[in-house]
Amino acid sequence: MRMNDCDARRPASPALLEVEGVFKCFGGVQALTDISFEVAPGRIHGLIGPNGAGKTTLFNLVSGVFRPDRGGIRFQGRAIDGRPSHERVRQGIARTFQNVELFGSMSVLENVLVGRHVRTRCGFLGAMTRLPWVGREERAAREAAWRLLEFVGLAGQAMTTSRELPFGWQRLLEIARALAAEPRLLLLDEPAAGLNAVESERLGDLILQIRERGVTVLLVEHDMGLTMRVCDRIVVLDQGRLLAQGTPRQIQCHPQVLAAYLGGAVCPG
Amino acid sequence: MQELLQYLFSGVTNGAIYAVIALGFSLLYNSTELINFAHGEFAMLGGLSLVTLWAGLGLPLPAALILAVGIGVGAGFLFERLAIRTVRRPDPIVLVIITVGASILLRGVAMILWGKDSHSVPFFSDHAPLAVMGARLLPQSLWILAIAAGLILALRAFFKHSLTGKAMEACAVNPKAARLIGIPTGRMNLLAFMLSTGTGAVAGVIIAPITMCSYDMGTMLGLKGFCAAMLGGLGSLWGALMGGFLLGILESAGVGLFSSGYKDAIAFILLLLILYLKPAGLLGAAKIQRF
Repeated sequence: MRMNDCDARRPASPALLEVEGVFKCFGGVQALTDISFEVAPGRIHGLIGPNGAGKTTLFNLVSGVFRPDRGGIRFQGRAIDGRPSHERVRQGIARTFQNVELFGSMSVLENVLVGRHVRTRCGFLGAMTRLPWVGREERAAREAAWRLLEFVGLAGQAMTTSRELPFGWQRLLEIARALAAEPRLLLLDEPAAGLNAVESERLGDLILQIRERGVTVLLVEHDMGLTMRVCDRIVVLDQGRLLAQGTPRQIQCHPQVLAAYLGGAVCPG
Repeated sequence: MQELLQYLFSGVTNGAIYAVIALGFSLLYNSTELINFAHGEFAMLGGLSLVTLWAGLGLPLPAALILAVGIGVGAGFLFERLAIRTVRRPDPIVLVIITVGASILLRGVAMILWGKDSHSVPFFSDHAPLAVMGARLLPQSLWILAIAAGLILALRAFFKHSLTGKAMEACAVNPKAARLIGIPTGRMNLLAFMLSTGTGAVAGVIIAPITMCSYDMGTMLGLKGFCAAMLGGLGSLWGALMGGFLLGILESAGVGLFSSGYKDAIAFILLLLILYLKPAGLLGAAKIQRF
């Protein structure tokens, strides 16, 4: 088996995503202070904390909306700071948004198709000249999009204009669109917000199925029931600092977490 | 009757050209929300390039056509890279003023390269004019209509069916989401510029044989195209077509029925009326269909 230079020099890191000593401030507000944690491949990681704890800021740093003031982020052992968003998607980081960001006037199927753009090579010339491989590639993209819609359960709505979907389905569509980029790491920003109990139950099942497809998930979520149910590990932020990390069980019993976040809930068992 | 038909022919011919120019405005506006006031200059560039390549250098017509349009596309590439991309704070108003500056620059460069004289090129084919119910139809009019129709169909197919076209549409609908799902929005903007200036050059190329080409022909073409785009509703494909043909036909009817002195006034009266009465354009109230 061949190893590349990078692996030869450093001991192979088992982590998919490494956040190392990250600081970020906006104006005078220190949004993140010295955050370090790792995301192991094949797991579902939860990122929790009260409002304003810096969860979405952290997502934005990982997906390339902002750059950290200090510290670094590594993905698959490679530093990704300063790489533009679309390159990060190509490397395998996809995300959804807290406030759903769909292409409202486009159909459900088209939304997923566009999500696949990063995995295709066809440019304008290819599209105009209709070279045979362009046709093949577009057919393949269409088939993949259909499969993803079936996976999230929206195949029946494929031709609907996406802004006409009920809100819960728009969230599912965002997940399908993110999966279309064939990510290794999927960032879900509060996917259960605005869903009813049945819908968030189903969302939990979906997230578990996504892990079974081999996609690592980093989940920001306020719904504690969902988070505790699906997550393998949880990182707790509070006012921009890392408060604790561990298994759901450990987090539920962590005294500082209980004090700061869960408001003194009783530890089960 | 015979005269009316004649006005209709010339109106439809001009209308096709206005429609193609309006299409360029709409296309760019759709992807970047920018109005390129140098757009007419790219039509001028196409027309004068054809003068040099076909009439001057004697290239075969198809090659000269493709090269002239290619020059328009290439100029759009340079324009975006050098003048638009480099702006530190891309406020819309700053960018629009840059396009006005670019139009002056392009006119100046064209004056140096081609001089102040008007140039002419022959018709694409030397058939005799057709007589249709007593009215004369120039073969060049058929060329113009055919090329405009081909261009419109190709663009529509591109936006409707190709993945790249969909990605461009996505950038227009929600740029933030587009960037974060992995569409290189910068490259898509560049592509929009090249497509837009390319269609501008097509308009210049097809109009070249029926008008005199000179370094300052772009100003009026650009303004007329802009009127047509506003008339139909900026950002709408069908709006651009409708606005173009409506403007062309009304203009030639006005010339025929009143006086040729009013030709250019008609476009601007229409523009004022539409801005006053229905600023979103004729197709504005109905669901404006993006490409």
